[in-house]
Amino acid sequence: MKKDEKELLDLINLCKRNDSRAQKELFNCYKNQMFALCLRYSKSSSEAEDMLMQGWLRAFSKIDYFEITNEFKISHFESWLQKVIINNAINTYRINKKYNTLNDFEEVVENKDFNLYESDYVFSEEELISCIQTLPKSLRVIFNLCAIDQYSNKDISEILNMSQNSVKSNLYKARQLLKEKLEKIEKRKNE
Amino acid sequence: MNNIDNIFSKLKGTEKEAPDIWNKIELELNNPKNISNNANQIAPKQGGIKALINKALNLSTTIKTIGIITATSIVGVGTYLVVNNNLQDSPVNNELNIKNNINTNSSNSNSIQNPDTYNNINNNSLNENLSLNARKKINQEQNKDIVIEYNINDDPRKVLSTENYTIEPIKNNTNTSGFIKNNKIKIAEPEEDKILPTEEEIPEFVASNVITPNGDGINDYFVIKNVDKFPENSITIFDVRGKIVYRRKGYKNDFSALNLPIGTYFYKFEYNKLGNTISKSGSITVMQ
Repeated sequence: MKKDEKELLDLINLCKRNDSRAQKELFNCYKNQMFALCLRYSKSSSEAEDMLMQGWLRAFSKIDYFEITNEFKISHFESWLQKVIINNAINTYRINKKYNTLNDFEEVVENKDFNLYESDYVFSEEELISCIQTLPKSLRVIFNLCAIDQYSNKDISEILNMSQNSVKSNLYKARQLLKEKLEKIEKRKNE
Repeated sequence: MNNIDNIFSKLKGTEKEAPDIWNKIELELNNPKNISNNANQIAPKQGGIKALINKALNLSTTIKTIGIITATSIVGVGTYLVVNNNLQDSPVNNELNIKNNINTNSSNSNSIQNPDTYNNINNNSLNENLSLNARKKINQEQNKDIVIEYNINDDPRKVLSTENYTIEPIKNNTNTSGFIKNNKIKIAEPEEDKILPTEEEIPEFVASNVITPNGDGINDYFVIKNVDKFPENSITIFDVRGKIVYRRKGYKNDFSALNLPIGTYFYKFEYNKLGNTISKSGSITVMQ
């Protein structure tokens, strides 16, 4: 399904002219990758589906702003597309933020007699995604941005309009919760 | 703790079989409501484009079409303007349309059946021509193809005899297929077409009295409505002790109480209306 540079360039140019066949082809080319991304930012696959759709609509309407330089590489377009979809995902978070109060978290007690990192169990992608999906929404967004999409703390604090310290503390909470969840999964597997 | 990050970092760039939602996306993309929403950022109003086409065609009668002409004309504004109201033909492929324009450029007369409505054509340079392909159907039997092309270096307003419109190229765009160099145009509404509210509808001075400078986009700034109608204005903002915290001539709605503690502030706003200086004052509450 992957295109080489010239094919992709032609597709993008056609999309800039609202060619529906080209749009479909571009969508099919990247839909799986982008769906995996949306799954991480949502709490269920149906929400991810919505997110994917909104994100692509946004990408198609903004594709005029994607500038094609002389040294065009596939990664340029991929990172642009990712950014559009992530921004869209965060946007829905921003919109819902008014009605979203941060939950109080239960005290996380570290489990001393079980060490996650010494076992050689390898988690599947499904397990990891389902772990992320169970996080509270704000923690999910921050963890995704920081740990997986590698945004810096400073960027996140600017994007989400929080102080850097609260980003850090939210990250800590997210990691603790995820650690707990992974440990539970592993325990279940071992039994 | 970064081990958690390592475990999850393998999710970056993974793929997951996506549900087949192309039909939904296509439906939304073709939804005229969406299209006009997107196009509105570039082009102002449908009326403006319609009027432009009218002027371009030099037709005294208005184009009385609703659905197709508005939708298709707005799609085109970003890159090229294609109006297709031919109900007999199958929908014209945009790409084909452009190709045809190029092909018939040397023999333009083929595509023009009514030379009376076709004035001031400059077709000296093919690459920098901006083509406006308009097709109007008057009767069921009578089809007219009118192609208007003009050199982008010339003033398009002269060519289209629409002095009231401002048409400006935004940027050059070259396609890889190399058959056309497409100049984007921005069409702005003529001043006279704007429907301005009458005097009674605009209260002369309206100011919000609360600002919440937290960056959420709501009440972030101290906004005086219609401030742009009174360019000769000055504002002074005091705190409760009478200390001046902000003073500005030509206020542009940009006071956001930056670095100021929450509380009540007072403003004095003076503006010039028909030679008289009018002074208004009131209080602003800054909240977080």
